[in-house]
Amino acid sequence: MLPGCKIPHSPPAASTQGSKLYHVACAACHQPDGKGLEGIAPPLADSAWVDAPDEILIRIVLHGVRGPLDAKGQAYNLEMPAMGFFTDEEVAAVLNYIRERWSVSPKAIQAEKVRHIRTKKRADSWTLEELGWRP
Amino acid sequence: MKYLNPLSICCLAFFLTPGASAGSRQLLWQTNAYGNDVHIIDIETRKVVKHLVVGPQPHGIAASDDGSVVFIAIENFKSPTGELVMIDPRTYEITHRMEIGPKPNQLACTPDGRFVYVPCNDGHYWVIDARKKKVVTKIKTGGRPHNTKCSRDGKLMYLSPMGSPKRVTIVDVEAGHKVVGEIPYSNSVRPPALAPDGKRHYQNIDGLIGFEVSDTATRKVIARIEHQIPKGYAGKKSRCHGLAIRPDQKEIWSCNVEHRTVHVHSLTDEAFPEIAAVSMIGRVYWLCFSPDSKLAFVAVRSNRKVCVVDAQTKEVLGHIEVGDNPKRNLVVTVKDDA
Repeated sequence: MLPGCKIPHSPPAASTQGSKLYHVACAACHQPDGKGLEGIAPPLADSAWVDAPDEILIRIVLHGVRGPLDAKGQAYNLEMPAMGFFTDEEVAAVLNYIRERWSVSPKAIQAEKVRHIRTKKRADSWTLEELGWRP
Repeated sequence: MKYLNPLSICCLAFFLTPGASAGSRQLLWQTNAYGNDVHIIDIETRKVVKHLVVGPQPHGIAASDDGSVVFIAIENFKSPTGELVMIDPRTYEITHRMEIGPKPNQLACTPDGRFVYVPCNDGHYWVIDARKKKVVTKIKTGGRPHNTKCSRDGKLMYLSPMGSPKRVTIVDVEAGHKVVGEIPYSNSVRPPALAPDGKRHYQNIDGLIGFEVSDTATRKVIARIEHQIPKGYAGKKSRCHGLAIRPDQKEIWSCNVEHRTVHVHSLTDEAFPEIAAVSMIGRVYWLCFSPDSKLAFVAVRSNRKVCVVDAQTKEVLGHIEVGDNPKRNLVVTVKDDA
């Protein structure tokens, strides 16, 4: 390689895998552009939720979340399904993809953190009160 | 209003018999929406008689009137496509599976089992000819297609997509699956019920702990019914998900999810008064009845159980352990000599 040449940018593996998983499992409700679907799923684009603490986002993906939620003036009151069937690496990948696309200052989530939270068994989805975090 | 606490009565012996005729069995099929399986329960003995693996995240269920075929929609969260699975309930054999649109939910079939309408997460209801095992057409409703009801005569399908449409789309099955009308509701439509005579359509809707009632002839909402908030739940937000008419057409039952209650309203009075509320042990999501109107089966999603209720006295008779996140269920009458 000639001095000064840059290695062509290729997205990290997590991003490629995360993009694929997002479009299969999340995009139908949150939409490919992250703008959400009225009355069904809140937007991820321009949402402070994507910068919620890692633990909160991991719990939402692993166990689901339910109950009333306001986002951008819209009310939502459905239940996001648990995606605990994703591996730790897959959970990290999809969350990293979401942050890479819509966070103003994306911070990577490690699979190890997913693994740690998964060990805290939970059978039911979370409510916002239980998660204890709001934008 | 009659109010019953399950803790005081859950130990009652199972004494009712559902009255299946000789040569037939009545089986409750309970899908486990986060699992890959279905629990099949003999409603006379309340024992699980079969645990059937059908595919990842089985969601909606429907059956032909003669009990010769059961249809199950496989959501498969990790796949861009869903599946429609056809099962012979006499042998539990999966006779066919076909790829359909993404994340299919609560489907409905015509009474003869010929046509199956499957709501998919691409804004369309996929219409399947189950005899030819082919997709006949797709009907665009917008929103998130989610629930479906077929009229008893098999002529009309009522499509209830969640989200922005806030209406039910009516399709004439015999006229080539043509859209023939709409019923606007006041908010996003959730689980529906349809009177056996086809005159009234009922909808759980977002933002209402209760249901709305429409006149199918004029296609207008004629009543908005609010459940009485159960004691101890004042101020706690909830929603309703699960609506079913008792087969004798005297009552409609509605699942109040977060208040862990099934509300019972009279259908013999068009004021639809609430006549009972049955406390549940967890969050409830769907229900169905035995054909003789004696038993109700409520999916207690948060507790991996089906609650068996005496549909006449409203007493909780007991619980049956099932799988991960039980949602849709259905009683299928199987004729062994068929």
